[in-house]
Amino acid sequence: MVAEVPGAIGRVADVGARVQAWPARSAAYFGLAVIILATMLNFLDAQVFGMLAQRIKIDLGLTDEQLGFLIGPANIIFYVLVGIPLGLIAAVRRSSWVDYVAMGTSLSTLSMPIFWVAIVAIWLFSLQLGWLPVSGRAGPVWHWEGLRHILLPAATLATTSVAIISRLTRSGMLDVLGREYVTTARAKGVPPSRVVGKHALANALIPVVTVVGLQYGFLLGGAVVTETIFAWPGVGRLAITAILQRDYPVVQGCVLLVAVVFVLVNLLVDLLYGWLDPRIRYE
Amino acid sequence: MNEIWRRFAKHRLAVIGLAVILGLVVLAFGARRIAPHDPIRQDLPHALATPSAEFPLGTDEFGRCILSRILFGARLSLLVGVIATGIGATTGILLGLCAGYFPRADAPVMRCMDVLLAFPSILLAIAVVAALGPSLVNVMIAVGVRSVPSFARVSRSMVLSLKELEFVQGASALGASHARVLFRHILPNSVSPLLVFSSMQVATAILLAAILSFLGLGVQPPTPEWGKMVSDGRAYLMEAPHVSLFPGLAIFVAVMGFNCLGDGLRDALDPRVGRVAVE
Repeated sequence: MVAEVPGAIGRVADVGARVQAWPARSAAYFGLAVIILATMLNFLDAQVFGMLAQRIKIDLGLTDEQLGFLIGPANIIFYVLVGIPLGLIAAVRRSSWVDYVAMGTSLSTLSMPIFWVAIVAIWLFSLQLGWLPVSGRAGPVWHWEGLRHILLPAATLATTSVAIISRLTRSGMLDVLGREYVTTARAKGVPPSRVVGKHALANALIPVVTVVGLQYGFLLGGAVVTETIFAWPGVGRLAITAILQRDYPVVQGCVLLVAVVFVLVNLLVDLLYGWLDPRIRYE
Repeated sequence: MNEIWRRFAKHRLAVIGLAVILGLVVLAFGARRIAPHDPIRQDLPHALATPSAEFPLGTDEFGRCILSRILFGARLSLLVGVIATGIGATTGILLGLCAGYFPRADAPVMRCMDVLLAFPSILLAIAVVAALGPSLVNVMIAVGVRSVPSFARVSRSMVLSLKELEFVQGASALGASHARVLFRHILPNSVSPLLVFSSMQVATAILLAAILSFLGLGVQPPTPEWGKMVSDGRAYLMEAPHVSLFPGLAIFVAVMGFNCLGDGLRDALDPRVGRVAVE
């Protein structure tokens, strides 16, 4: 679709022809032709894929493990670790102040523009308190510096998802806690923590897990903005620069990459169902 | 109607949401009278002033009054939110009605919608604006296009369930034309879920439009726009955080208003409709 952008390819090709010192452009031009051909033939062979990967690396000078998806897993961990307990507590302490605060916060978070959340976070944690760096990336996440750099972008990106997940967990838990088997478990003297943690949570989690998977798809959208603000060299920022520069192969590569990861994550979610609810089996 | 109003009024958040939106509309229309300063005229000696009696919310890097700019920006954001949703709703509902009613149109239309849905919504909007060039109308189109598939899905599912009901079957048996069945019988009966969905969509549209102009793809300067104001203030976060803080707060209030309104409308109009996931 981006290939339909008017005035793009012709003009860019013109510029490319005039500015001889821009060799990457001809590669992009060639790549576009290959991709249109491949799409027409309805397959994308290994060579095209290899070239895309190469282009992505050339463009920002990234290496494979830097490809920005680090922010994705970091983000999932964040919203699972925050969202689910939040919803859980809100459900167990229903109509208490904890519930009101948690649900009020999540409703307001859903209404906040993500770029503003990012800016407020930078202002508070980086400029005022000086705890975390303002932007950029520094080494792998398993190092202290790298972890400090990823914390703010990942947390910002996760805010919307945390809100959705905690609301879902809460409504799921409220539904399950009213069921008869929970009453039975309570009646036979199972400690409350076990009733909530084991009997109820496992059953309330199934819709939550589905959404955790789906959220991953919306992630790229938020990532575009978050990565721009935090100058994080990820796929989101790569995608928007590519669109603005009419760099079609890179756009296609980004969309493809995101689609593949999205499918894989959702496959994982499907497998998780079986673990959460042994009644679900795959033939 | 009374019954609906009663149920709506019981929903405290919804009433607050409605009040907030009405308030914003009044402020937006009265911006010319209320605003203490010209939103565009530069006043460099007062650049980056902190909130004071003369400038209640301070000034930006060109000395323009932030309160005035927020008031004028309200017009734009509300307009974009409502019109973009209108564009998305009309197109999406028409497509959804056709897909649901004519079995032969179903697969082609819905597969096209799936393709649109497969793009992350922000990337789709960015691509549309990049294609058409940044301007107010194009932002509306871009944001509208994004909601077409969701509207198509909602209206299609309404048609699918309604067209099996006796009154619709009866109407076609009496010889009513397809158009009559669709627009006189099916559409009026799917108004409430579509209304609920639309009010939530306005919220998302305002957010998305703000994101676009934050990225520099929206309304061009010097027109005051909330997203752009936040973006401009970024450079002065250290010495003048209020430049970014207040416009963002305005976006938050507007979006929150529409979200609450949607919540309340859902409870009032149709308790059966499930929660629509907010992206």
